[in-house]
Amino acid sequence: MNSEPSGQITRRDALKTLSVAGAGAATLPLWVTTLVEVAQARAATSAPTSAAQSAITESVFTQAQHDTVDLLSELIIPETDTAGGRQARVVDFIDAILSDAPGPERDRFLDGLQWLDERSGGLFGATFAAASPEQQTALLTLLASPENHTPADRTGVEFFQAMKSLTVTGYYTSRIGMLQELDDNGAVMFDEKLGCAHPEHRA
Amino acid sequence: MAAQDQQYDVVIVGSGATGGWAAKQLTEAGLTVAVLEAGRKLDPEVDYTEHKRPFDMPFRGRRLGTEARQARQPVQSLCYQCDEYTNHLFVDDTEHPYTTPADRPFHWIRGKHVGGRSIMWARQTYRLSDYDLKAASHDGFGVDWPLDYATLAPYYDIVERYIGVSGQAEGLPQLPDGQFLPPMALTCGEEILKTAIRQEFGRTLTIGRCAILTEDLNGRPKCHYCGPCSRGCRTGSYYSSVSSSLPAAEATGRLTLIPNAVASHIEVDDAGKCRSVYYVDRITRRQREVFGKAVVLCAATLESTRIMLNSTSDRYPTGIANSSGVLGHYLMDHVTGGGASGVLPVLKGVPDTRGNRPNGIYIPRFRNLEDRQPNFLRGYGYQGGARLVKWGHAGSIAGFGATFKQEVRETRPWQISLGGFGEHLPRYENFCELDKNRVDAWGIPILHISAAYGENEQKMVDDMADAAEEMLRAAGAEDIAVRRAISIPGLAIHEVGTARMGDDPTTSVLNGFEQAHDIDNLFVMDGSGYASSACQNPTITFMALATRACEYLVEEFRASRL
Repeated sequence: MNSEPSGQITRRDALKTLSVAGAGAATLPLWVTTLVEVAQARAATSAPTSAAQSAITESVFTQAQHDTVDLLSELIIPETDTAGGRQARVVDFIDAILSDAPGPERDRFLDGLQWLDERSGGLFGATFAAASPEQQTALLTLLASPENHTPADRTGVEFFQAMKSLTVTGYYTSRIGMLQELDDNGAVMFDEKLGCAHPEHRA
Repeated sequence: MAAQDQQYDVVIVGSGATGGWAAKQLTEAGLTVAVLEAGRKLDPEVDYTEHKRPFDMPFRGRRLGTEARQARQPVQSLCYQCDEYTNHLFVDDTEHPYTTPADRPFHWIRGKHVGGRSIMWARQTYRLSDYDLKAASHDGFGVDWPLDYATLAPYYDIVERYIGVSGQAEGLPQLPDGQFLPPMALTCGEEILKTAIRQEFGRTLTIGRCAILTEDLNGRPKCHYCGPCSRGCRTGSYYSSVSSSLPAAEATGRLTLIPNAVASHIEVDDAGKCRSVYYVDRITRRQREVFGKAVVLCAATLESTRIMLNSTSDRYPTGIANSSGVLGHYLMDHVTGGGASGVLPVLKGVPDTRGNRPNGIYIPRFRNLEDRQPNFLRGYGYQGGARLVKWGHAGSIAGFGATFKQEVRETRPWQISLGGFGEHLPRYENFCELDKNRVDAWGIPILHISAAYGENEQKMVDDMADAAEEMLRAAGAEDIAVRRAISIPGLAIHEVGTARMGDDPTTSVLNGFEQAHDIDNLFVMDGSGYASSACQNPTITFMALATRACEYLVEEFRASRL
């Protein structure tokens, strides 16, 4: 398989790919935690043989929403010496998760996207995607620093936490994330596993 | 040829760890054997997913599935091994219902296919000792087993030599050494913990003893360390009945394996002895009968007892082998939930040395051996390990962008974790019985299971938590999170008892050869016979007991005493 498997997901089910580890659950708002808990409570139930036959369902995103989430994933984990969120197709992963999310949680995420554009409009006179890279970074910095924001920014702060959690999980479990960033080359055959080679650890 | 036309020397119900083993031993001794297996044959090329990576899977391998499938596995999905890679190896709960009291939940994790749970098991193999087999003599609670360690030891030897168990000899009386293949290696963090707890507490940490080959053995290649054994193993490098014992049984030409055969009950003859096993064909739903001169139940704890309880007749109105009235009682499952996790700052920057090692560490029981704990009887062992976390810490790192990405790389923590597995005291009031008002998908009455942990287990979990925290501190761990939420029975998947062994036919179901006191040609060779749970992972003991029982069965068969 050469591309990310986003198209094979029955999107109603993809919520379950959220992880506590990727989400930093202890500090998250309740609605994000709810997504995480639902994900943990649900079973893996589609056999490998049947998964590929699952229907491709429609995106929850408009084109503009899709492009904004795609942009956000790249801003959170950008291309450096390894590829970033965009090449890892994090947007498709998030789309799939939202498709499976309970309605209220999905709506809060989409509301957050709308909030982001409105806040960007108020600050910069442009949607988030149309703002300059410096403006985008400035707004995200505000949202990523809880001590800086006002109660009016709460929607945006929570949205950023959800967006970041989903980006982390989607990126580090992608082919690009695993093979490039984690240098986990996928070789599954080893002659043996070496243990600790440091005498000081045995004291 | 219709199955009912066939008469076998022995009919075995179940093809898992012990059913496969009994089939091997009995066919090699010259007996003809039919093995009834409730499920299908797996196809390794389709059903084994050990070489899939997260990005090969539609949901990245996490706990997920369609809404429709989710509704069909509400219990199985609670198992840590049941995920996107493996859900097809676990039963459909809607086809396999059971009931519990509302305030006494029991999570019953099952896999029905050729090989049973020996496909998905965690492969940890620890011998019992006389601290376990003679525990009642030690502290006065419950009953001793009808055999001691010296009696059982040669049978452990036989099993270990054939299936292959890697491990490190430690010379501990509470955890006897076995016939070990070379041990796997400890990671840096595990070495640090090992040194610290030996120095501070005089306790032992050893690499997990596991039924995974570290050298080629009996035609099976050694492990290639791909990691996720519980998804199946195409090279057969860990013990499952499919990789090891069933092929040996088939090679004798005396094995008839009947998949899709859902056993419902045993039929007795006029003399009150087992005559045949009735089963429902899973595909056609037709009832069939297969005849044997002896019957060996290896359907797993609870399922074997269910078959016996459902084998009623004028002679045996409360079920077969139940003159004592204890059939179904003394259900046990290891208690878990106490433990701790932390990070080892001293290892900052040290690369991962664990890789995909499919094994953890073990800290053998240290309570109530020579000492006497004030708060609880018996003891527990820990399983766990130390490894480098590659990205799971990312959610706790602030910010975004290139600096965030770099910080995730540079702050990978060495996580260390311990979780206890404790003994569950045998109590009459923890039991199963037939719920005759309900049937499963094949029309067979289901079980009502009523079990709970008590004060002893709760106090043990508290001690697991405290002692784990203390040991992690001794190793220099920081950010320690202590866990002390007691588990739900069933989830350790070490369920044992309900047809316990004993010398007294009025208080036990089986004798020390796992033969029913009431019926000479009925044997139960899975975990049902446990008289007390001990705290060690039980499968190797099931197999050692079965080896001794099969040896006895063959002698009795040849002497025409069955």
